[in-house]
Amino acid sequence: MTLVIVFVLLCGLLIVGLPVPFAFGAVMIYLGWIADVDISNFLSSGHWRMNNIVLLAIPLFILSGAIMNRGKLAEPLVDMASLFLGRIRGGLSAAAVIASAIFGSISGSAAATLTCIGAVMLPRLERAKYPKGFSAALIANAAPLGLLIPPSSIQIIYAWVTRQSVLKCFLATIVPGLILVTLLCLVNFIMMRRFKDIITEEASESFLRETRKRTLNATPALLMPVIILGGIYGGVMTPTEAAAIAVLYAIPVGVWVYRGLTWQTFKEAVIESATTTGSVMVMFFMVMIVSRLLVFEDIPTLAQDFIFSLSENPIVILLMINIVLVLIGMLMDDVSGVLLASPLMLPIVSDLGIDPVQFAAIIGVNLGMGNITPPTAPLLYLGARVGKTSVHSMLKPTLLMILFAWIPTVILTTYVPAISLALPEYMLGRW
Amino acid sequence: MGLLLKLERTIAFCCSIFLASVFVLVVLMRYVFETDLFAYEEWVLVVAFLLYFVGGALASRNNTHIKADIVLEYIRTEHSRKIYSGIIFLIEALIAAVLTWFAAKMVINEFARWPNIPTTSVYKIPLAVPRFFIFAGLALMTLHTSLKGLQELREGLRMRFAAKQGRSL
Repeated sequence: MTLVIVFVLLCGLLIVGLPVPFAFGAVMIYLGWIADVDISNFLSSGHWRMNNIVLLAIPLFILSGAIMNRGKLAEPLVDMASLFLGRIRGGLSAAAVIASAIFGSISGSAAATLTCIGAVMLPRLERAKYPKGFSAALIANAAPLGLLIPPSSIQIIYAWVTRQSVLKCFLATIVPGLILVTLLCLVNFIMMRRFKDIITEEASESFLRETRKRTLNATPALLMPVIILGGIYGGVMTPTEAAAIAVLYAIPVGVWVYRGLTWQTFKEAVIESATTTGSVMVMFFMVMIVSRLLVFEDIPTLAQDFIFSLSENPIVILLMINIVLVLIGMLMDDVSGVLLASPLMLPIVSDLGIDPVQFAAIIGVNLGMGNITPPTAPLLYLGARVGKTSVHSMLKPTLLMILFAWIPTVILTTYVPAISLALPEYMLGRW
Repeated sequence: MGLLLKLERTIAFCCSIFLASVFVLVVLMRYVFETDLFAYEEWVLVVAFLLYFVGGALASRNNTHIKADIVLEYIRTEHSRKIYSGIIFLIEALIAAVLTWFAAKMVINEFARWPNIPTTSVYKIPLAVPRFFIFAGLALMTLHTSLKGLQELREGLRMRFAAKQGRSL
């Protein structure tokens, strides 16, 4: 009963438009009231839980992403991707997907990827006569790749909540991310076949010279994930230290290489990132307390009993879990989704013999899909704003991408463990 | 309010730069000077809490907390949108106020144990310090959202009144 009331209250408050942290704050007050417990104790426990150095990787990655955004990093990435694909119909839009994957691996945020790649790519796509709604939908669909291609904030949070290795969780989402990139590009090529008036990039006289020029221009941006991931996987730095080094690296690259960063834009980037950090971490604080309270109320066991009472077939149970995760992704953002879903669902999937590292990939893919699934779809609305188009014009392409790119990725990630486990096992050995 | 905003932004800026610098320094000390910053976690996390909750207050002021504006998408008239969002801001402020009250209790409970207040193990930093930042952040969020709510509600009602007058004329 408690779970039902909590779920209804939470959904109701989120749907009326209350910000996620305060919707969870209201749930916390309700849980404290029914259990007749002093809520100030909950707040102290929230402080204890958040008093952890690993979590500082999140604000530092947000800061490095904000500095890179202001440092005009997206443009050389798009230039390089379009060099190889821009000469075929649907190539420029496929380049946007690839640029989103690369940029996502740098910024670690779906919203940042959408705004940054969208701002650079959408005017180009419009000039090349790509349908406006389709372009915005494609970039909105590609934006969650930032949740899958490491380093990803939600994987750091998942690893921290479920006490898994951050490295394993980072590696687990790479292959699903690459599958999604491939499928999105394929869907895009098939959909663009019938648009005959699309203008393709003309072949430059010297392809090699152009390749060298654009690759050289994009190298400082591409080195960022290499430094971060190399540092972490090489055992040289912790994720938090790697995030700080990324900030240190982003400043000279933004100032001297891409010349987008001035003292004024730097100040704006730092304050903007602090505001984003605040909204993420306050939400983190509230959601974490609520998820702990739900664990204390033995809700995961109740949910487990409920699910097993419906079916004992692992395929059906995993399907139900996927649906619930997508619904969570539709209602709230990725961070709160991970915080809420991980402690509730990990016991269930563990009972089914699913490795927690595989579940990291399942959660990432499902929440990403939830973020672009109508009617709520926060990224779809953001995409419409960035692309200056209507959500309505984005619906059909989005549904096709969900059907032919996202759902196959979700199914493969859920039912083929090797997709998420092979890379961590290969790189780090069996555990 | 302008001064308060300036203060919040300055704190947020300094904390962000400070945190990034500390971790760069940690890496430098490990590989260049082959030493470490002993128990730096204790003071770094205090600054982190200040950043988290000042950032949260700034997010309340800029209305950038994550939310789904589904209902607003379906409200047609501007004044109804303003009135609706004003009411939502006030509900948000009410929840934040209740949480602020409990956060204040949390800080007071810390000092109730004086002189045996809990501290960190090495530098003896009272745990009340980061907890005070939680309280202050929530108090600022309450202030910002309630002001925003009242402002939206007033504007919405003024627009509605103007629209009605226009129609009757």
